[in-house]
Amino acid sequence: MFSFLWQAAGLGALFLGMCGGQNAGQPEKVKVTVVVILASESDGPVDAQLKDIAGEIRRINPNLKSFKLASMIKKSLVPEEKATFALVENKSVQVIVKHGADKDNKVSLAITPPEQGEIVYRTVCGKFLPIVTRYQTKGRERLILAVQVQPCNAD
Amino acid sequence: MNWFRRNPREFDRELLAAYADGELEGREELAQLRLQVETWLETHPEAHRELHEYRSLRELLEATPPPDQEEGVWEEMAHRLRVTRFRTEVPNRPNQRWFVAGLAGAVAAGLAWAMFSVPAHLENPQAKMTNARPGSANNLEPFPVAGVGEVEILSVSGDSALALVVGELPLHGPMKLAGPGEVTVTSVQPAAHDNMLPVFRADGNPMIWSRLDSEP
Repeated sequence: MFSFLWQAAGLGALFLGMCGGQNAGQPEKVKVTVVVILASESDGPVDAQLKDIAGEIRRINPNLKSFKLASMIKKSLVPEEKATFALVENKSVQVIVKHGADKDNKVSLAITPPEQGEIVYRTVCGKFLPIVTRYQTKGRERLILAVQVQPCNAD
Repeated sequence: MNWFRRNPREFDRELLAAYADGELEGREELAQLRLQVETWLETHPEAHRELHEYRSLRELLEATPPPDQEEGVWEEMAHRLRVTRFRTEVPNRPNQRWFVAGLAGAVAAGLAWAMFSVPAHLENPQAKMTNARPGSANNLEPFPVAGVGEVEILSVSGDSALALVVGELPLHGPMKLAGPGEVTVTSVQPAAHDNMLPVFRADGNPMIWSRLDSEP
């Protein structure tokens, strides 16, 4: 009877080890958040959440006066997975996570905004990188993207 | 019955018509409902026009009663109704008569069984209560609502975010911008149609800027 118990315990440990091994082999997903912003040269309000980014953009182009949060989208991606985020007026942006958090705790992304080539960059987690595109809507609003990734190690 | 069930801002026209006809008057059990109607009318003066139309219609109907019929018209109509119903119910062929008789007997037997067998819910009222669905008239438990952290919003347009009562938005709170040195651009491909290259601005908070033709 004792030999049977030992055999059962051994098989159970082997099974658990296989399960753990399978989970450890899967790459961790990276959450990519894209915030779609429309900026206009017409007078208008600045959405409260966009106050800081509006200030930064106005330093470069003071003509952009109003900033509106059009939409926000979040997707979880594994490395090398390509995702398309819908923006406005049938435009979209493609995002690929090149790799998750590296030794510097930065994630690498490849992003292709509308009417532009691919941009590959490394960024810290939890903070947004503004990307001012050259696309303008039918209402002459400038399309601006803000991209954030999460999590990094120890997040 | 909750007259505001569809939209608290819209009033049920049937209720307004009932109020106009005086059906809510003089009945203690409807006093609360009458008060709700009157309170609603005070805050919706545009509904007074519709109320006036209902009352005008009622007055018109009362002022124009149907003409009196000649003697015997109603008796003749009742006779014709009886004849027509009897003619459609009685089968003409003998086989149909036997079928109808058999069917009637089966229905009577079923009714007798239903009357003399005790319904289950009368023996065990608690069973009916526990089988009732949440929110139904017999079960007063509130509908469960998702709590904070139980719903993750994956995509939302700006205006709709204000309508969400629960759910973790993709962006909550002010946007934290990456600081100097926190972003490194590895490569940039030019635009396919005109070879435009965006600029990576690292003075201050990092930013990628694609210049318009009109921009300096």
